[in-house]
Amino acid sequence: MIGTAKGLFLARRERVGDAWQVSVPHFPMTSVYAVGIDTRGATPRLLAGVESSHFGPSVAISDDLGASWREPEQAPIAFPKETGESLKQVWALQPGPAGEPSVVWAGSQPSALFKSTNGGVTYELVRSLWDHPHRPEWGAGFGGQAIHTILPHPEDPQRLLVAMSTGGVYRTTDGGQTWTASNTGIKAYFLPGNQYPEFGQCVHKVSRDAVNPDRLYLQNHHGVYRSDDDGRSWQSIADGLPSDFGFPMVAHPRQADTAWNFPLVADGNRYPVENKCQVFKTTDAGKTWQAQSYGLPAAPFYSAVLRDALCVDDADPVGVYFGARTGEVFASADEGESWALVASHLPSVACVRAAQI
Amino acid sequence: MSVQVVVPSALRSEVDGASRVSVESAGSLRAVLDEVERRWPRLGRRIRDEQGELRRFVNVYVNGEDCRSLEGQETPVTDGAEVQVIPSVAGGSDIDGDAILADNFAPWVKDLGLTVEEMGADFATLRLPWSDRLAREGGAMSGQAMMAAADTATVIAISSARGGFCPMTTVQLSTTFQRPVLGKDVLVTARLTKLGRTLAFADITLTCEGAVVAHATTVYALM
Repeated sequence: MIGTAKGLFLARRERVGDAWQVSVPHFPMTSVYAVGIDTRGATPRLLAGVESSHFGPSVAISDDLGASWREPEQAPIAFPKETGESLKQVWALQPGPAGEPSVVWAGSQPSALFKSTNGGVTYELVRSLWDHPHRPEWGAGFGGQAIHTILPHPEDPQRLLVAMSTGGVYRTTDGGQTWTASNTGIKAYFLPGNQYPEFGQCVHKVSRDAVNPDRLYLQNHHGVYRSDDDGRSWQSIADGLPSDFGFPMVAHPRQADTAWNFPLVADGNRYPVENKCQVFKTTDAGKTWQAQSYGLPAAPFYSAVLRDALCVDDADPVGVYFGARTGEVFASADEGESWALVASHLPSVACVRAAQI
Repeated sequence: MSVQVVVPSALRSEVDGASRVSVESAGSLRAVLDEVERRWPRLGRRIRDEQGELRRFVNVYVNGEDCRSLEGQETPVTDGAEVQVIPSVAGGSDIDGDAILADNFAPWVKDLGLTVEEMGADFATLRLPWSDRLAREGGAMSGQAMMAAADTATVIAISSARGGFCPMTTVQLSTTFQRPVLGKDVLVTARLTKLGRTLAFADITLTCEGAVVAHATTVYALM
């Protein structure tokens, strides 16, 4: 699934080595900022957060790989009347853990968490986080104020981590009754005064280690961090990277200590480091990082990869995918060792998700 | 008390394709939109957000006047009034592709049941619905049906690009068939590669569930 500024594209191939078949746009002329593939059921379900500049945001689902889409009569995600808020955009669609097959989480702009218990058809606001006393102080990043990351715990449904820009990381360990800001060690360089506040960080993305669920990898607005205690505290793992700025961060779905990101030079210089199209991978939980660029464009590359535009599938070996704001999508079928183009000249890519079905 | 609500083409799928619907409500625009939302919730929520506010880039006209220059949703709406919902200008085309289909083609082409999914400055996407009547021996959709759909999609794309229908005729149509279609609709996207004064050239991709099933090129003479 390739979500872009002007519609959703679906790319598929029967097997590695075949050419990719790229669809015409679904939901043409809408921005598709969040997509999800829920593979927990008997048939995979596609989820798409679409936003029409005219007719507003919605969530559509497909149980036939995009041949048809459906939406409920009532708005799938809506703020209750008394909040006085209205949904601007869906930023995250995250299927819950395997043990809760009908749970799907959604993150929104303005910053709020929604929970679906019917497989992502309709959602309800999680009031406990909405009513958090910090909320009036959560800020807006350049892209708007939103919850963009939702990480269920694979074994413990009582535990959930969310991240927002700006605001930072919040965790619950009691099924969402209470939420705790969890940013110890993460720097907010842009603040005057205290640069290590309890909350207010501009976290860009967090990903959870597949083998050790207490281990998390985090790309910050400057700063790359790891937590070994389910987000209670964070240590820098930026030293092995050419830059500590960037947006995405994706952990390997099965292998411990392994993750990918796509560094950019700096906040004020949002180009790939050395203008090279390259992904960085760690296999030692962030101590060292290796560039991966075989098969990627050798010409100077000036495009950025957004926070949800880097993903992995669940194949063996793992496929890695990323899309650029200039409309290219690249795939690696060998964990980043070599790359090939999936599609080019698409509208600006906001998000990609992939699965082996 | 009855009010006519004019539905923009992008939202007609929410009202079974109707271009206007009749609503038994009047008094204020808010009451009319409340009734629209009650009867067609998906249409309603595309016009107003969950707080009942008109979406920023949706304009609603009451008897030809923008409600924002009147009293907003408190604008009085009397019996027999016309309420027009119009997406604010942002490209695209306001010509009615389905009307062109209905008015300008031979009866057997109409029998294909083609509908316009999308039109833009240089393209049109039509849906060719599956029908057992289109199946040839072996059960797959016949190539003749897909060629007719590709030909027809070109007419809609040219009409969209020119801002309306004009007489035209096919000079050349070449098609390659790449995959069989079994029991599924086909989406037919005609994209103009050149629109000249007397000739138009188009590239047509036919897809089924995202996979390319056929590809065609056409040349049209514009009368």
